[in-house]
Amino acid sequence: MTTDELLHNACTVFGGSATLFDPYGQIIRHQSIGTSKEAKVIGTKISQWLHPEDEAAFQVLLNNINQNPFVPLVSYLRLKNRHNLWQYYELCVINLQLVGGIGANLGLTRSSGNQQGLADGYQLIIEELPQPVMGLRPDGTFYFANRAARELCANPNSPEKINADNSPLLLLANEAVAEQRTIETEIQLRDKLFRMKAIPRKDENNFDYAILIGTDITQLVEIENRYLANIEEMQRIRRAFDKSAIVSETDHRGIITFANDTFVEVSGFSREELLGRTHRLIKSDYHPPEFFAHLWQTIRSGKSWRGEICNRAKDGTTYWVDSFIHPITDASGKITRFIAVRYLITEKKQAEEARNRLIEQIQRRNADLENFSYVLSHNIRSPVANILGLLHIFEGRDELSDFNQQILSHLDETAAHLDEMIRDLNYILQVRRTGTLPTETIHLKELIEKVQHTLAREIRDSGAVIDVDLTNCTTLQSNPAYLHSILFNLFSNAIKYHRPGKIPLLKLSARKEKGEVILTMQDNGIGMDLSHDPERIFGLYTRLTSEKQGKGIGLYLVKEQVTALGGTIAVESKPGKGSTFTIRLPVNYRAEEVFF
Amino acid sequence: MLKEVILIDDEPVTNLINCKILRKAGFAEQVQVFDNPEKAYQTILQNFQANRGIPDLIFLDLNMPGMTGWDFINQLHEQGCGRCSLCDTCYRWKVCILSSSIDERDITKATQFPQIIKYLPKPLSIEAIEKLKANWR
Repeated sequence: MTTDELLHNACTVFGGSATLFDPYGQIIRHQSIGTSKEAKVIGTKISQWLHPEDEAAFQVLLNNINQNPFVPLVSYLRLKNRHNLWQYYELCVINLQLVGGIGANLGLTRSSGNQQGLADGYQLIIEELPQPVMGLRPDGTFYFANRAARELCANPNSPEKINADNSPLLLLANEAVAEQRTIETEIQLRDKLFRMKAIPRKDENNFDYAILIGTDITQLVEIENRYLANIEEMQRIRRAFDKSAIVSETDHRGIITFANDTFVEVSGFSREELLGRTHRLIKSDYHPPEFFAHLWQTIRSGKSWRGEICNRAKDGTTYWVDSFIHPITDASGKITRFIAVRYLITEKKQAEEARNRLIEQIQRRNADLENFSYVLSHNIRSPVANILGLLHIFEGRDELSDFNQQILSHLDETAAHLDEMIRDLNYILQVRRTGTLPTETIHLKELIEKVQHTLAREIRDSGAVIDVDLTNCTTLQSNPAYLHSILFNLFSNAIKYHRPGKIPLLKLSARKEKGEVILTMQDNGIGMDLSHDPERIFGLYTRLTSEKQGKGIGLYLVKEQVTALGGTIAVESKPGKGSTFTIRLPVNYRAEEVFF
Repeated sequence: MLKEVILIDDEPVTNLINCKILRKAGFAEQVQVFDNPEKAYQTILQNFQANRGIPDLIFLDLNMPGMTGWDFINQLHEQGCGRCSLCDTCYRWKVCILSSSIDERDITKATQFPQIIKYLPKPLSIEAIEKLKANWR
């Protein structure tokens, strides 16, 4: 039943009007038979409609009912009638305690002289109240009980008695009666929590009983608990925050008004030393003045600022913080204070600096290496070129003894070998130096033909048969010069290290797989023993056989170039069983800017 | 056969080899040798400014103390030029780099000068001279 329905029923039964008003006499609701004054009356005070001579009597009535909930009190007072004339009314006032969360009294009025229905009117109101209201005798029987009370705590078998399960109510009633005072406590009934008030009374036969009035505070408690949980949660967060971060607060001028423990600990200043000062106290000389000017400009404009700051502790040591400074504005948008949250990043910063130093060192070494490569290609080569030139212009070789001719011929070879080594080394250093490689679409068939052309004489002399299968891959994006060099070296090796008495047989195939081009080159050559160190074959100046003339640079170059193209190379081989090289290259080589 | 060729290299041994090769190949009537690039530059420039002509070809080493081969060409370009990047005068200067350097940076750099018609790594050989003669522009 809604409050309005309740009021309507009450004034119908009562034969007058029903008014709900707060403990101070201000009208909340009003219902009257035959008129619709409600709008005009709501919000006004009862005393406004009261004859001035009856105000004192009404005040006494109010005081009485405020102290005696659910006990109707009747008085005869003059009120303004609908014709604006004074008329005596019978006024029955009941303190309903809380209705819908507000303290409210019900006033029932009717023209005096009509004696019927008064009791019925307020009883109906009480009966329909959502709150449990009951009169409970010490023996557990009800003096009276409204519907809410009966539903909550009457014994289903003997409704005139309280349910034994609800003995806390009886204990409360008995305590109130025994001590003859009003007692309030919280009691759980069914799934609801009530604030229960017990008021000691005597019935018409002077027997004790207690009026029990319950207010459902289940939701209130829930809200309160949630609120407390929120506060607790926020305190937990705040504690965690305080432990991990340096937190400070300043006023709009930057004067420190708050400093947490971490700030005190990290800065080495006491809280007393920090408060009232600005952050200039912990400023290091690391940053130029413009740095802080920009910071202030940002936060003064209402924006947050984030950056890394080097601060100085009291003992003079510096520390790095990742800082977040946020301006707080008032309702009008004016900045009233700033909150700064900072995290210590000294270690990260030191690691960063160490890394930068290392990079610098490596860059210097790399420059040295480049310089070395120039020295090699020029300065060291210069005397070698002279030896070669001098041998070239040497005259009268024919007139020398056989022995001396032999020596000169060895000198020719040795000088040529030395020159070749310098040229190779120079080439290797150039591969290393190349940061980015130009790429283009390479047609494998054309490239292989070019390599075969370059090796035409070796292929012809050895009678090598080269079988190429490119059905699964015809093109890729890469650097042609490198790819040419890679295939050249592999072909040349396969021919050079063929098994004596056998025709070199080379099988080259290509296929695409998951963004990679897989080139496989198989030969029937002498093979290699890789059991000790399979990677050694790609080392510089490594020769696995002493039988053949080789410089030990070919496979090293191949490996370097495959790596530069973003690929990998692997080899399988056994002595006398030939070798298989597998090269994996990205289908789309995208040159990355290489540091070194 | 060319009329006048100049050899500039700070190393006497190199000059000895190169002179011999040039003579053997019958490349030029007159081979003038300088082991001081500064002196070579002054002589060539004075002859040019006095309208006594310019040499048919200058063999130039790169790595020399005092004045490098690059310095030599740059200065020649500034002084012995008709004031443009590729004027007739500039086109008449012909330089052949003769260096022991096989560094690709040097080789690439050489292609950027209009005066440089050839880059030969040392040692100079008769075959290289024959090729130069065959492709004479």
